[in-house]
Amino acid sequence: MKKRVIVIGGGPGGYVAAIRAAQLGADVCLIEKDKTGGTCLNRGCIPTKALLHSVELYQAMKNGASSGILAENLRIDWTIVQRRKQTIVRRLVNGVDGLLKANGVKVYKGSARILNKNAVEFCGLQKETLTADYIILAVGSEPALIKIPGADLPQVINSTFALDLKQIPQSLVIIGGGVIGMEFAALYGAIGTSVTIVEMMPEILPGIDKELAAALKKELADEGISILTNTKVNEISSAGDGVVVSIDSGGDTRQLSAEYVLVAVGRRAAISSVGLEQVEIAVENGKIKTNEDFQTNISNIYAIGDCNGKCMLAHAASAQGIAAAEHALGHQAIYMGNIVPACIYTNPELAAVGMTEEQAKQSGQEYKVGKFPLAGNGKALIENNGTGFIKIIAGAKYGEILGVHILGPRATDLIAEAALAIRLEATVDELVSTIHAHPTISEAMAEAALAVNNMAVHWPPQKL
Amino acid sequence: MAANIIMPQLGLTMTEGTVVKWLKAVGDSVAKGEVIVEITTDKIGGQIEAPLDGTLLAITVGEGNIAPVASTIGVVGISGESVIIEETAALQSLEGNCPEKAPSSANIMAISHPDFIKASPAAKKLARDNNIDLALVTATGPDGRVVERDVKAYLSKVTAKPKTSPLAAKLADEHNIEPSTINKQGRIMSSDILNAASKVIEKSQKSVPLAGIRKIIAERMSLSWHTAPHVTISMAVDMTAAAALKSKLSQNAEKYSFTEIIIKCSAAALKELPIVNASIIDKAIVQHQEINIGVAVALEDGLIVPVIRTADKFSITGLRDSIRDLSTRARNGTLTADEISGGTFTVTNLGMYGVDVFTPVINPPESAILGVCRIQETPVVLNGQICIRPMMNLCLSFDHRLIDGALAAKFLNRVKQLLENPLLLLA
Repeated sequence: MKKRVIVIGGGPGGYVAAIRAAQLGADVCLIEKDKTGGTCLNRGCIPTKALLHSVELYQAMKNGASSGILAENLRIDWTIVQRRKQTIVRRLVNGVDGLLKANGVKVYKGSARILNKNAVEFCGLQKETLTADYIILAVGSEPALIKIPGADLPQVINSTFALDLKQIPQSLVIIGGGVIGMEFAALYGAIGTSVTIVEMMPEILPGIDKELAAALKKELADEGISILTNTKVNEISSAGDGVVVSIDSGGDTRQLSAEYVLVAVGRRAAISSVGLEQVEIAVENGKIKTNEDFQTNISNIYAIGDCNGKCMLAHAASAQGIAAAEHALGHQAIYMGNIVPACIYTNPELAAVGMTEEQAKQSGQEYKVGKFPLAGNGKALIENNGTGFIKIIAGAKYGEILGVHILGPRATDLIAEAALAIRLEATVDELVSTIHAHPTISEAMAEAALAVNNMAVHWPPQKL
Repeated sequence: MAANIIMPQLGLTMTEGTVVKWLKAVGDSVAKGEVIVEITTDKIGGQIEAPLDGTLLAITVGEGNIAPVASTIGVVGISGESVIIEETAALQSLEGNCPEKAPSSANIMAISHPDFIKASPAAKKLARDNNIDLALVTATGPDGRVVERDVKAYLSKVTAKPKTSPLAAKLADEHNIEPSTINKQGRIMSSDILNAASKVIEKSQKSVPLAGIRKIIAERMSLSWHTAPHVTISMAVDMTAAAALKSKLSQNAEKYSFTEIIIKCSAAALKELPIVNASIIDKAIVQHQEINIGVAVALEDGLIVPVIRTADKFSITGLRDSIRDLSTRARNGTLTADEISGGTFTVTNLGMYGVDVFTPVINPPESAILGVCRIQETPVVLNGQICIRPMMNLCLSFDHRLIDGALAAKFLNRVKQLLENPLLLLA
């Protein structure tokens, strides 16, 4: 008798969980109220990167003179940029639908509500009660709101809306200096929008190694993006077509005019309408509480991805989805939540995996730091004039890789090697003795590993 | 011709025995009369000698397992001889009482000599060069013939290094752990080494499996303690008269000890109060007809309690001779099973170790045990005068299910009375 699995939510957590459950022989239903692919494909990762790619091309052309590319009358047709974004999103969504179908997953388009621990009410064009041995909740998250006067003005937008602006705005105030805020700042800042980031905390990019966050902040400031830290927004008021944002930097109050205000203060689990209360699923700080196997307090109901709040990243959700499906169907699942790479698609890119230097310090263990500036790497020089660096945190005694932090071109692709190194408990010795192809930016990874013991080849020895 | 090694019957009541230790491994040569295996019953240990010159061909009952009397526990024969063992009745391991099948004939066959294994010349050479026992190689050739690839496969299996993460390798080096000793499927990670290292630390604290006489004592003491609600009472006895009796008896260079005098008095008291000489067996009170007194004898590795049957019928001299014989043979390990069973009461003496008070544990299914302490010159008040007397504590532990405090006190008081006035023994 096949096990029956219902997955609620078709984002990168849910659709991956559904496919894995089907691969393992279960009879799987997936309920999605909108388009499959979830926030990631439709309102997050993919559309932002599609827009950022267009912007990157534009910047490359604009700054191409030094590379011998001279363009005249360079302009952006925002409509085409948006259309290309839509095309890519549509293609990927169709791809997900095709994969679900190919794996025999039955997709129900509509809302879902848990009735009891083994039944879910589906409400689409018609109502239906579906039963299951296991339910995997992958209901995702939505942009968090702020409670200040004027937050409900039409010019106050969230990230979803910011992706679909009909025109490039003249000016934009972004509330929140996290990953989402920084990426939108990089996006619009590069195509002529006057961007101001307002961050309440003393630093931008919480959770990112402070040295890299500071370096990225400087890069963006050099691009003309204004970043105000230790600053809070008191009020937003309407002024003509735009708004006026009243800010307060430690008693120093000012007013910023902007066409739009983007609220990017994080995301919250979207768990209000799925019927958690029907089976009394435990919720903590607005997130579904789970154990390390992603089981809720009702053991046959799992919660993965943004809705459990463990790690609000698409790839973490996918990995959790696989782990939950495997666990439910009696397989041994491996999910290593401490080795989740994080990527920021600014220019230059930032990517990190493992411990930051602050975390290493806090853990109390002895560690060493190896840093290699990309100015010492030929390919990085070719690509972006050598901006950025790689920083490796390694255990002092054995040299095991604890964390890798990259600022620079292709950082988001380079981080994979670092994640694998940590996953396999590699030490700096293995990074060093792995031959890296020349000329690539990846050579800098081996150099940073060498730098842990102050042995970098393409950088002068550091005075200790 | 092979001969079976049989579980012997060491006493009339013995029905099964436990294999404690095989002193020879399968394949070892043995000489007729050489001790090859140690066994034990619930009361006594024994050794079994090889029945003929030859090789230990098979062990069918492993260490720690129980076999019924007269069943086969191993086979001795000529090297290379093939042996067929019938499957014996299901055996039980002492720990879980889980039935465990004796090895089937197929397993035993595999032990036969390597010369008789069909193998290709290349396989034989490779095995010889690498010092491999062909019997251990899985044959895949025609008719079960070992071919070269089988030896190669075996060789790569035994020499394969486990996959180890670089950090784990460094930790293994530091903690001096050989990764191949870690039993794990897949890559060995740092946590596996750290786990193994913590176990090594535990190992260095020296752990010896509970076996043999120690195991029996452990089980019987636990059984007693968990079955019988123990109460211990103690009385001080003036040993002046008993000492006088002892020195009178010892006049002809025949040494006597207090033990036989105390046993004599105990036997007399038991006769007067037979309820103390009883047991609870299967929810019934069984009053024993005979007064059989056990005397605890300390051994190097434990404790054994030989029994003087009908102790009340012995003279003090008879008791002395009996105790001497039993304790000598207890130390030699030559007691029969019948000599260490059937007790109805036990006397245990820690006086020689300077003990003044203790709470002995009843030897089940008996209902009481008398602990004897040291004799010490003590100031006591006698007729309003302080005088020095040789005083000794007697500690009686009794099973409160059967014996109440008042009865126990009456019994102990009677023993005291007899020791203080040995002439009463004549009454």
